Amino acid sequence: MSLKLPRLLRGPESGYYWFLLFLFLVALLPLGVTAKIYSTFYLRFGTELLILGLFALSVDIIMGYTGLVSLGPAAFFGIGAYAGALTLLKLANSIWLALAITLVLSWMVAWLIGYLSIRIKGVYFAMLTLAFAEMFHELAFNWQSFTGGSDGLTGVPRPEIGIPPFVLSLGNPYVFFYFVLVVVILVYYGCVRLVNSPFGHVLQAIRDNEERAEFIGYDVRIFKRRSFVISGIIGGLSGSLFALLRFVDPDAFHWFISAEVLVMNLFGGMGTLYGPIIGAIIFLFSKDLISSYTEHWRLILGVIFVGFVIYSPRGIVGLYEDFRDKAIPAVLATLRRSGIREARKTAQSLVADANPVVERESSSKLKGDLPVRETEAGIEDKE
Amino acid sequence: MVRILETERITKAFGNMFAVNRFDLHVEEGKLKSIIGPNGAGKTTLFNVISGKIRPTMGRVKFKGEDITNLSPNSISRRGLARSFQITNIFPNLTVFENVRLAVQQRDKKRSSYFTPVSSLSETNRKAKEILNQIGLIEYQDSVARNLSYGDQRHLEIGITLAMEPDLLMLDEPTSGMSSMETQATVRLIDKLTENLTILLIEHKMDVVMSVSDTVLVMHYGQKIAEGTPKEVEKDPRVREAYLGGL
Repeated sequence: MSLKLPRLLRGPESGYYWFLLFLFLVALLPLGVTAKIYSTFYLRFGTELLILGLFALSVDIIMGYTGLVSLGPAAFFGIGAYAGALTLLKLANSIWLALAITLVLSWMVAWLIGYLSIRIKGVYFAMLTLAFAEMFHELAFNWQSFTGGSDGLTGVPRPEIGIPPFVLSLGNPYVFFYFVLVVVILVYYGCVRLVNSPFGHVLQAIRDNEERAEFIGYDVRIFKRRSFVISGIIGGLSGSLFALLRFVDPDAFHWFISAEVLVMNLFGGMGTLYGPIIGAIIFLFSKDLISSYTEHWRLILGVIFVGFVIYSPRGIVGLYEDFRDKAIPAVLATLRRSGIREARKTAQSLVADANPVVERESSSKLKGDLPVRETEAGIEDKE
Repeated sequence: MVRILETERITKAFGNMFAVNRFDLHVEEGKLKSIIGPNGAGKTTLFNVISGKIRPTMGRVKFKGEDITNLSPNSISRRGLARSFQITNIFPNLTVFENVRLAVQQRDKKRSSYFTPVSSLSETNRKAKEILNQIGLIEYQDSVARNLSYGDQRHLEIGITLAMEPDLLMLDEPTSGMSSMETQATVRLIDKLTENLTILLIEHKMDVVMSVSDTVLVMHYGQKIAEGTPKEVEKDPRVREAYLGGL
């Protein structure tokens, strides 16, 4: 007797859809509050996880799928936060207008930053994106009359959604939670479609080998810029939602925000869409947990982070996949063949063999894998 | 005879070293022309100038009657000029199928659609399979490209260029670093391609050059020193001195 899974939940791309299923299950989270298992604090915490997961997802598009390391995602997070809050404060108390202005503004800013920085490569690109974010940070600090300076914006009204007489206030934590969840599900699904589209495949080609992509006729710069813009828009969206949940101050532009979102990506496993969201959840959970014991939570998370980068560069998702595809089948096969004692030995040797990246690289050289591409010397024909 | 590619006095100087020096080249449609010459003769630099990887110091490149001298590599590629590289240049972490499909996809109307799944581009997928059949890598279509043997990786790169359905195919030492078995397989592949393609080839192995070429051009210190059928070139005294002399 075998249970047949739907097509989307099988095969190599099934991970995307399993996670979508998980997001639907997240809708049950408020039940715990109703049943008094945990307090509303956790509802708000859950909302924050979703919002920062969305932010981490935005970075995955540009870093995980396109291969560009931007050190300035905070620029978009901040733009979104301020655009949303300022619209609600000064223009109209409408979430749709706030989100629309956020999208347009982050699209424009992303296009401009992208236009200026994508022509430059590697570390220079990274530094330029960082510089832009820092400029916004300064601006938010010093433009007292508009941004509220270091105090940030206070008294941001919570808009209502719906058509009268069915009106709900986003100030209600339940309503806001579901609102955010719907946004996250829609954006996540959009991203799944995006990375599996011809456009998404070109991005992955660029990540893998920019020169070859250029020489099969793709205008690499345009594709990178589009990816940067899409990432910026999603980042702005997450910032806007964050402003509604908590508060807005210049720290939204702080480079710390950019650093943390990169860490979330590496923790979870970039280039998977769900990895970064999982990374965000785990990062914030551990931060919350460890900081309730010690104020030195960064020290402990730092050590864990180093461990991940060295031993599982593909993050938690990569770790899980290795277990599912290699370790568990190997142990099960031994178990079936030679019993529990042998299976335990296999498991032990697998643990011992879990090589750090460094070793894995050198062993691939021993196998005679040729480095696939190096830049050609311009002048000489090398033999 | 229709000249598909013409260069006029192409010059590329690095400092005061002239890698390519007032070079005139023409390739006729449907023919296979080889460029040979000792190391450092400027062959790859010439390729780089033609394909837009580097800009010439002086001179012009005309492709299908159009001046393409200062165009970017992507627009030159889209005009129907495909090239391979001396050092294998593929997408190492994508599957073999994906490598080829990306090149086919470039010609698809939906090439940069944001939400259509690639799996639904049936014509593109079919063509990619066809190319894989042609280069004999269909059984490895789901393998990650970096896991292929060296020779198969070189063939995959040729497959990528074929998938672009080019009007001119430029191959930069397709057999470099290959064993003699692999070389033979490559020669057979190129022979098959010459039936309906125009090819410009850089090659070091004389037996390969002599067996596949319609015309051979000899390059030395950035200049052309001889051009003709393989037989004519073989006999040319200057060529023997410059290039074959050592053999």
